[in-house]
Amino acid sequence: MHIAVDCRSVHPRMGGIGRAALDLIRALGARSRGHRLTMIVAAGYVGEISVKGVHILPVEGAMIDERFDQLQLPGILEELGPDVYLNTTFSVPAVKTTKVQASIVHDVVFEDHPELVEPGLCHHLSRWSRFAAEQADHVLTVSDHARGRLEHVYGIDPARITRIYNGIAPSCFDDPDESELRRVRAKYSLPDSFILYLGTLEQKKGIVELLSAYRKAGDAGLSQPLVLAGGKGALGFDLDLQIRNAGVAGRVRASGFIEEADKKALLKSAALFVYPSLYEGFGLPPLEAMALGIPTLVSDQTSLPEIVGNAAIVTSVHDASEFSQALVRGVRDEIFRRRAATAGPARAREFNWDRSADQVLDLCERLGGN
Amino acid sequence: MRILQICSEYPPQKVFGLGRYVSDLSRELATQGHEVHVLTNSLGGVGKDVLDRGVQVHRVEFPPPPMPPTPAAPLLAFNVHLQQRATSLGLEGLGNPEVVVSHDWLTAIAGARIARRLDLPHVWTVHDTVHGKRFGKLEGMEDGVSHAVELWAMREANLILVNSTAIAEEITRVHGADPVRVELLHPGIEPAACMSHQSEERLAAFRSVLAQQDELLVTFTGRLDLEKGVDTLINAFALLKSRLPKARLAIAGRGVLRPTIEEHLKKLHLEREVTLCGYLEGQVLRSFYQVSDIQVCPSHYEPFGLVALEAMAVGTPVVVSGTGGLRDIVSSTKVGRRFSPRNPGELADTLYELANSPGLRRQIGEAGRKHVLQQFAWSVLARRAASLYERQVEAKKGMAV
Repeated sequence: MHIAVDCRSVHPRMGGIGRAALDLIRALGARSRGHRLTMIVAAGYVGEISVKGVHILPVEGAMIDERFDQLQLPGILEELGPDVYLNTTFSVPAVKTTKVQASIVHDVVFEDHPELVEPGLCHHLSRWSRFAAEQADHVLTVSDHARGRLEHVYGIDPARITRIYNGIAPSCFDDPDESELRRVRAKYSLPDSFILYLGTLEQKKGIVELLSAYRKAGDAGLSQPLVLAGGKGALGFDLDLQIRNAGVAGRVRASGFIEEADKKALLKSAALFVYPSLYEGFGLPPLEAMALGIPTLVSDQTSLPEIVGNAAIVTSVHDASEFSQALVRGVRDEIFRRRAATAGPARAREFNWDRSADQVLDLCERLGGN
Repeated sequence: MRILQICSEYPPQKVFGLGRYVSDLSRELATQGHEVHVLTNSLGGVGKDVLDRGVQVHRVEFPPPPMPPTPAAPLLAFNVHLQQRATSLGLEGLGNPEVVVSHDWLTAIAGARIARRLDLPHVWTVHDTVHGKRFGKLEGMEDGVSHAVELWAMREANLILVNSTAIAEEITRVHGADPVRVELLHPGIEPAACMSHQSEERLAAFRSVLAQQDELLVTFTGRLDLEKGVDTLINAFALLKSRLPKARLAIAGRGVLRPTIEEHLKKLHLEREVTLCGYLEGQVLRSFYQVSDIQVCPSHYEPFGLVALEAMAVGTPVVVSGTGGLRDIVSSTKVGRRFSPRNPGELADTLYELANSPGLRRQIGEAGRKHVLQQFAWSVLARRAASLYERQVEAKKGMAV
C-alpha cells in the first residue's frame, strides 16, 4: 500500500503540529511494514530534508493554503496515486482523488473559542475541519478530550474517528550536559533559579492568567523570577502591556523566540515549568519538561489533565488564588518536587511514537483494505 | 483495416495534447475492430513499446543529443529516426498496414516517406498551422521550416484531414491545397471520461473556493498565451462586474502571460475577484467544469477548442469567440453562444444576458451536452475516420488493378 502523509506543517519555525508530523513520519518510516511512504513537504519552507524509508515530495504550497489544498493538491495526488492520503493539518481536498482520505484534526479551539484564534485562520480551520469531519473517510485526533469535542461539535460518528496520542522522542529524556546548560544560560542571561513558561506568547496560552497568579504568589513571598520564552503569537497580543498591567515588571523576563537546539537546556534549567494554556489538543511542552524530571504545573483545561496524569500539578487558571497557591507549591513542596523527578519521566514514556505509528499503520491498513 | 499512426507524442507524454488525440482515436479504432500500430517518440526514454488497449505502440528516442543549432532541426532528425525505426520493424513489425496516418508538420515527412516506401496511401491530419498560430506573421527559421513542411505535405498527401471548417478554409484559400483532397474530421471526447464522479457535497465545497453560493462563476481553461484571448475575457469581466457585482472569474491554466495577467488584474482592481487557479487536470479539471456557471473560450485563434467540448459534455453552457473550430462546436445559438473575437463589450453583454437567466443557462447547457454527445463522441468520429481511411485504401487498390 502507498501512504502519502501531508507534512506541509514541517518548517524551521514550526509549532507543535509540525513537530508531531515530523516525529510521526520518522516513526512510520522506521517501521513501514513494507508499505510505500511519501512525505509531502512545502518546497518553500523546507530545504534539504530526508527521512529514512520515506520518499520526499516537495510541493508549492504552504501549511495553511486553501488554494493549494483545493486546486493543486487533487491533481498532485491523482498523479502520485497513493491509496491513503493523510493530512496532518485539519483539511482534505474537496475533490477526492485517492481511495482513502484521512485528516488529523488536532483540536477545535476555533469552534469552542473563536476569540482566541486569528479570524482568517479561524475561518479556514473551521470550514475545512468541518468538511473533513463530514466527508473524509476517517478523522484522527490526539486526545480523548479532542475526540469528545469533535464528536460533540461536528456530530461525527464515533466509528469514523480514532484517537492516537502524539508521542515524545526518545532523545527528550537525555539530560543536556553541563557545557550545554552553561551555554544556554549565558545566551539568554538566565537567572539561577526561575519559573519557566515555554510556548507561543498569546492569549490562548493563559499568559494573562499566569501573570496575575504570579503577582499574587509574589505577594505570598514567591521570589523566583518568571521567564516567558517563545515567539509572539496571534491577535497582536501585547506582552509588555500585560506585564505592566499585572504589576510584575522587573520580575518577569521575555526571552524571545527559542531555537529548537536550545530548548532542552532551557527546560532543564528551570525550577518549575508552567503551562497554563486555556486550550490544547494535546500539549507537548509539559511532557517535554516532565521527561527531564522538571516539576511541572499545568492548567486544568481541555486535554492537559489527561496528558500529564497525576505526575504534574493541575490547577484552575481562572481562579487566581488557587493558581498562585499552585505556583508556590510547585516551587516549595519538596515531596512533589522529588516525586516529579521520577514520576515525570515515567508518565512521559507512556507517549511513544513507535506505538502511535503502529496505530496509524493499523488504521491505514484497515481503511485501505489490506 | 490495418492502420499505422505516426505522431510526435503519445501518453503518458503530454506536450501539445496531440498525443491524447491520437491515443483516443487509436483506442476507439481498435475497439471497433481495426488493427492499429503507433510509431512515436520516447521523449528521452519515458515510456517503452507497449500494447495500449489494443493499440501497439512503437517508440523511438527523441530528441537526439547533443542539442542541435536550431529548434526545428531536432524535429527533422526525429523524422529520420522514425523512418529508420519503420525500416527496422519492417512491414510485418508495423502490422502490415494498409494506410499511414501522420499528424501535423511534426511527423508529415516521416509519414510521407514511410507510406511511399511501403506503397501505401498517406493521410495527413492537420490540427493547426504555424501560419494560423502566428496570425499570418512567420517569425524566424523555426516557423519557416514548419511552414515549408506544411506546404509540402499539403501537396504530397493523398488525403488531408482537418479538424475544423476554419482550417479547411485556411489551407485551401490561403495555401492553395486541393479542396478535393481535404476532408473534415473533428476531434472527439469520451463522454464517460468527462464527468468527475464527485459527490454533490464535494462539488459544493470545491465551488465555495471559487465563488460564494449566490455569485455567478465564470471560468476559463487554457494556456495563458496570446492565442487564447484571456485579455479579452478579463476586460469583459470588468464590464460585467460593473453591472453585476455578484460575479467571479476563475482562470485555470499556466503560461507566459501569467505575470501580465496579474498586473492587468491589479490595475483593474480585480485581483480579489479573479482566481488564478494554475494548471488543472484530471478530476479537479472535470470538477471545475461542473461547478462553473459559464465557461468562456475567448480565443483569438483556436484550431479546434477541446475545452468547449469538455465543458459542454458536463452540461455547462459555453460562450465562445466565433473563430476556428469553435464555430463548428457552437454551431447554433441553441447549444452555446458566440461573440466576435477580441470584442469584450459583446462578450460582456452575452455574459450579462446569461447571468440573468438561470433557465436559459440550463437550457443551453442541456442542449450543448446532447449536441456534443451526438456529434463529438469518439465512437462516432472514429467510425468516420475509418471510412475516410478506407476510401484511400480502396482507391489505392483500384489504382493497382
